[in-house]
Amino acid sequence: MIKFLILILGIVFAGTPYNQKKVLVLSDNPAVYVSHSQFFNLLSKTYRVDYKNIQSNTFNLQLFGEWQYDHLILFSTTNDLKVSIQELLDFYDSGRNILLLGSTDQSKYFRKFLNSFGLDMHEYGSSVIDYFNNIKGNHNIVTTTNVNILKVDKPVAHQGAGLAMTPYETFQVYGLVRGSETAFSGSNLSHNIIYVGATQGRNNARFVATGSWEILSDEYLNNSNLGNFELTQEIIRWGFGQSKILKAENLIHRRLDSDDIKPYNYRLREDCYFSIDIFEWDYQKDQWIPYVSTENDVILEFVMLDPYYRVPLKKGQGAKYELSFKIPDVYGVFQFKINYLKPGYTFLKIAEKITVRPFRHDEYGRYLVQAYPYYFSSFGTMAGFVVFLIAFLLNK
Amino acid sequence: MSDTKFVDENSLIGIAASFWQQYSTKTPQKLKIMDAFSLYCFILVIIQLFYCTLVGDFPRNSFLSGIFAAAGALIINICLRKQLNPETKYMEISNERAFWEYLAAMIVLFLTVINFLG
Repeated sequence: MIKFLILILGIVFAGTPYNQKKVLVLSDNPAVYVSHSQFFNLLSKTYRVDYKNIQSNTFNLQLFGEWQYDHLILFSTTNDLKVSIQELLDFYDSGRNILLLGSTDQSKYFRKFLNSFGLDMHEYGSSVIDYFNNIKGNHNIVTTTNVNILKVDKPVAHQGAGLAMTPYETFQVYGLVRGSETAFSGSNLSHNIIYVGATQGRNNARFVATGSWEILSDEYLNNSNLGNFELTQEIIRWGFGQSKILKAENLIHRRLDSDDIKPYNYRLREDCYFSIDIFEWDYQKDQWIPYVSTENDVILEFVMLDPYYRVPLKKGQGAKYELSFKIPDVYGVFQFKINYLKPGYTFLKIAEKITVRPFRHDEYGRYLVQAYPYYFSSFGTMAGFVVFLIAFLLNK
Repeated sequence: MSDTKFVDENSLIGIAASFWQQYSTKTPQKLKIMDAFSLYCFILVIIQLFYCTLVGDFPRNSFLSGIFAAAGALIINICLRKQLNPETKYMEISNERAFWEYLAAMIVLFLTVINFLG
């Protein structure tokens, strides 16, 4: 009876959005709820959305040391936020995601906040201009097909300022949507014009910033010739950690000729087998599927201070990546290391420590032809010693 | 000294001849036997080093035990020789005790060598 009750309760609670992730939307312009209704529709399909005014005191990011939200959406304004930049960064450092919808007249607060992610907004009042790729001859509404990491088939429209990258592209900071070849904004040329920029922290928290928040408005989302709707979906999926999520598990290493998994130690020059399963999260099927890297770039390092091996793993069956290799002729404490830093994907950092021991005294090769002089010398000395002893003791 | 007066000490051969003359007349028979063994060990070391430069030290453990067997025996032998020679005796220990210590050292050396030979 009790079991039945628990079952009923479970079914009831599974249906409620209680376990949904919570998103906080901050804006001081009520008009965005009308102009971005599509965007909020998409959002509320998967998340529980809380709308607050930037200026209000009625929300807490953190309450009694616990973060109250999983993701944060900021509509930038000319006003400053009540929350300090440091608290927002702490929010990000705790592994939570932030989406910043920028605009060119945003306050210094937002510019500073953007700078802490390696991105920079173009000058005040600037707007990206493109005389070749635009909509209906209006050179302020520019289009581009230069989309990385996200999957968008149609051209994406943009209106307003662009972002620049403060340092050059790294494995952590990249432009998701970049300006076309002919775009420019003031002195910034196409290689430094980013419409949607992103940063992924070493804790795999994701930050997405757009140069203008108009590109997610209904005006562009309803236009079926443009890819802005797909882009919005992709930004929500990628930015809030649903797509391009990797996990590694089932790390196995063993001697090639034995089934003893993770042995206590290896002897130098032994054949060793290493394998690991890498999965990618599939948001459509809601399950982990085997991750397939097309570029053969999952690299295994066998490290003791320096890497002695740095070899790409071979794709095996299912999610398995495997490799067999010979332990080097050096003994000490080694590590199997995988440092998979692929832009757009969560970073995989795996390290497994093992010991490599030298030969035991009875494991050396015996009766080797080239070692005969040494054998002769060893036993010759002993024989010579016996002869010497006899001669020495009998001599009076 | 009267035996050495008719060798010419200014030439290299003269020096060698003088040395040999002194050695064969002055050194006791027992020390001569020790020197023969030392020479035998020394030659073994030289041959092995020569062979190693030609062929390489691939079975490193065998190479080391071969070299150390000969060189170790050489060194221990020289130590005993110093003890038995009254002119070079350095610690006041009896010849018998020196010989037993020599024997123990040799046995330890050979055990190590056999263990490491492979």
